[in-house]
Amino acid sequence: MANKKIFRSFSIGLVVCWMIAFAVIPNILVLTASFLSRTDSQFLTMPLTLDGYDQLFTPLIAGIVMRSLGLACMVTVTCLLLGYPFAWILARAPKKHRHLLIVMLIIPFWTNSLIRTYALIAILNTSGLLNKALMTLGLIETPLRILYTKSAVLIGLTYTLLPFMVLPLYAAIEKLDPRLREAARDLGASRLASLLKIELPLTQSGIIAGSMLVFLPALGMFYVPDILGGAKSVLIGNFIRDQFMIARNWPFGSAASIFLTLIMIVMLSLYAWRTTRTRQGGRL
Amino acid sequence: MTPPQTTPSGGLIAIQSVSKYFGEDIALSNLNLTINQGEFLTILGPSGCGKTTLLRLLAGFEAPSSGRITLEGKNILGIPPEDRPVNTVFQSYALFPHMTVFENVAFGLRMKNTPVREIPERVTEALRLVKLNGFSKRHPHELSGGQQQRVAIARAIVNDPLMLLLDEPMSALDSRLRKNLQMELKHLQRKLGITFVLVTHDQEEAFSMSDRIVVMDEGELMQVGTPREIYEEPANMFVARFVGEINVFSGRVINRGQEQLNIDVNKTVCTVKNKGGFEQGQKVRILLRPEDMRIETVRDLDADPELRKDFALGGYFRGRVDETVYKGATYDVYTTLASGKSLVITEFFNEDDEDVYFQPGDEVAISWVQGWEVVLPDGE
Repeated sequence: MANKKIFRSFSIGLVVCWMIAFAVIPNILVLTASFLSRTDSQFLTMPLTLDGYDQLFTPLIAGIVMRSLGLACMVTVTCLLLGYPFAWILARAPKKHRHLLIVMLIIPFWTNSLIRTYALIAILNTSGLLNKALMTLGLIETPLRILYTKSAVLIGLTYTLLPFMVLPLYAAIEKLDPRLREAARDLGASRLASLLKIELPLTQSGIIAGSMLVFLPALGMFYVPDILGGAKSVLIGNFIRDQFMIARNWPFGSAASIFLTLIMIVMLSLYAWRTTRTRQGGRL
Repeated sequence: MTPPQTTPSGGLIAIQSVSKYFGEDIALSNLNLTINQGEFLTILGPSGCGKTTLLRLLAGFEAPSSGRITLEGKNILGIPPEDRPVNTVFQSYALFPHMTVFENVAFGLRMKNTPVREIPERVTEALRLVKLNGFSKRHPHELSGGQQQRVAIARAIVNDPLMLLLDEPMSALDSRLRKNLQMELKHLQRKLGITFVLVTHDQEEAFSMSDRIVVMDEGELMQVGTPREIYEEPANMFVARFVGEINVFSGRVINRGQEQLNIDVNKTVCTVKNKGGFEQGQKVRILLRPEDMRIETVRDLDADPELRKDFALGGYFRGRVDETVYKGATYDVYTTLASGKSLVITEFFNEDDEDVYFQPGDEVAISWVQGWEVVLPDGE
């Protein structure tokens, strides 16, 4: 009994310490930094100021934020459109193949995503695999310029984040009773009507969870746009990174970082509110 | 009493030489069956006999590997489930968990673009028929199993289908609830005049509700008939054994008269009604239901010459009582014959004598009510 208690306090204590050391303290440091000022000789110094936040509300930053949100939305929608049928096939595959298919989905995670992003260069290049394949097939005459465009960033983010969409969708679709679809068809619903009235509403939790898992990283993942998009279009993630590494304006970078965190907190709260509401609404 | 439309008249559905394979497995083999307008038909059989497959073919969820299914003379193969005038009550009910009872029942009407004004009235009427008025705002998970079952039925009948398919609709309910629902379902069918096709492995359910029963085994029809025909005149050993309890005697025809057959069962000569079709020397089986058997103690038989004469008429067996089992209105007497064969005999309580008459160890003579036996050729 006493042992159990000690183990419990120890394990909970460990997690709490971990969270304090690696989540709470860094965030407090960033929060503090965002209110400090800088001089040529020092990254951070007194006095306290709101300059960091002041600089955020300029057309330049607004443009970056809007562009980032827009791109994250596009990535999320693309992942959802690709991921839903993907997860559907996975969830309805014969049981003996299902685990193998999921392992195949996860295997790429074993390679660092930075390396996989570099590998995409070799594919998207004007003389890369994609263009060569398309030209061999006679679909195009001259190579497409994909690399270092917004499309390349979209492809890269979608590729990196797709599994985060597929896995929650898979979990939701697998739980869905296939007889509900039959019941809907039996009652006169076409395939499309059944999808819209039965399957989509009942897998809503998976859709929302998958979208959060794609949308939030898509906002902050700075190295993909860096490598695949060239330096042309600055996104919020790159912008923060640049403030720290190049412009050496830590208060401004911290303020932007806090701003991004706030956006995410708002979205997560919406998600939490939505799920508790649907649970009260009687979802099984 | 009965409304005119419930009189079975003509074939609504004709199933012609239908076979269904799943890979190598045969689910249905060369099935022929006509389902009449307005009848309550039950498909009875053990699990894996193909009865659910047959239902799914009628609903349109599966297509037969060969053969034809017509509805009112028109071929319905290739018509998707949503366009068939047929509705299903699923075994697990398959209610839509994110919709209220009202929305569940209204679903079919909305899909068929029923005028919005009509919907509340028709949903209320359907819920009234299954005695669920006042539940329309609840979600399925707020209902008991029996109530969910009723919603599933309301959701199907609200569409005025030509035929209602019920896939083991009561298997998840406790026995008391099941009995009540059986009666209600039968009354509902009479009232609506819709053709009901019910699939079950429960013979009691089949007997209490059906106009006709189809007994199936391993993808084949074993017998089609009224509950009484199925029970009293089983066409083969499978039906005899699957439906109720039965005692089987193997023997050989020793001679054949105009009216009677004499059959040698282990050196006892049994006399049965000659219904034709048997040769001298042919191996046969005599089938007897436990309640058609007669049993007397040897003591009583010796004391009563009238009784002895009566027993000697058709032949009787000697045996010993193993045990008696109280069944409420009746009791079962388990006996072993001198040949080692076990029999079960069902006796009704005598009005003058409330005690179970037979005691373990009693020497008994066993006969049966003449003419109630079924004789089948012994093919195996």
